[in-house]
Amino acid sequence: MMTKQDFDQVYAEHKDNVWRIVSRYVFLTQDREDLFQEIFINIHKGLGHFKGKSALSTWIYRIAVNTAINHVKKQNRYKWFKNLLTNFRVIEAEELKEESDVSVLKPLARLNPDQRMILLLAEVEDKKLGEIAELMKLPLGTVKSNLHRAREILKKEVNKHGEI
Amino acid sequence: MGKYEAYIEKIKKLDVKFNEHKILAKIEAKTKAHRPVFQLAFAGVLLTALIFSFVYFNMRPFVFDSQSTLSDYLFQQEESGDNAVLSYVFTE
Repeated sequence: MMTKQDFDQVYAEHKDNVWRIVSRYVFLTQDREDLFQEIFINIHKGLGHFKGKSALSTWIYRIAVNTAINHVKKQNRYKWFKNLLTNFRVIEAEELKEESDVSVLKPLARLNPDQRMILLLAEVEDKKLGEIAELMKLPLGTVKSNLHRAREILKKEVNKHGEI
Repeated sequence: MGKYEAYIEKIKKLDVKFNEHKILAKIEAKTKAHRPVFQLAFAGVLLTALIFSFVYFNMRPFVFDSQSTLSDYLFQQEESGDNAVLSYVFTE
């Protein structure tokens, strides 16, 4: 049975790693806070069932990565509905502002959720492709092709915008 | 170093501050909150029983016997005997 102390310890040890991923993967402060919270709630739910087959850090990484991808995919699915609400002036247009509040991350917004995560894991977190494939439960070939495509898109964006 | 590599370095060095107290308070509130499963189940059963008994006792002719609703009504009115228009209809 997991105690509050267990969860607090897990939180203290892993919050920085989780925040590092979250703060680069989504761009708005509110989104980051929501996602960070969602990840730790999922960790809390799953901690009692953690069997220790992999390292705890790997397990937490996997939850963080998959929760983040699902979070962005879910947002994208409801984008049309938000647009509709804005058109009918049910919600303010500002709520839809999708530009990053950290300008350096803007080019990453051009990548789809999988590409963005693969690129961040490979280039920023320095994870090996095999590890990424395992974390995201994707075939190695898919990871390679997504990373290649993500690099191409990002290089174009960086060249287009010059000094970011 | 190319532009792309310089860009990746910038992302690596990026340090976005977060309001830990605010987030932690939200996480604690959500992880502590437990759903009152038994109370909800009991309330559900009670509500269903109330709805069923209301339907059974008040709407039985409409729900269980829809064949002669109108004639039932007319004959009921006739039995009461104090409706001039209906008594005319039936005596004629």
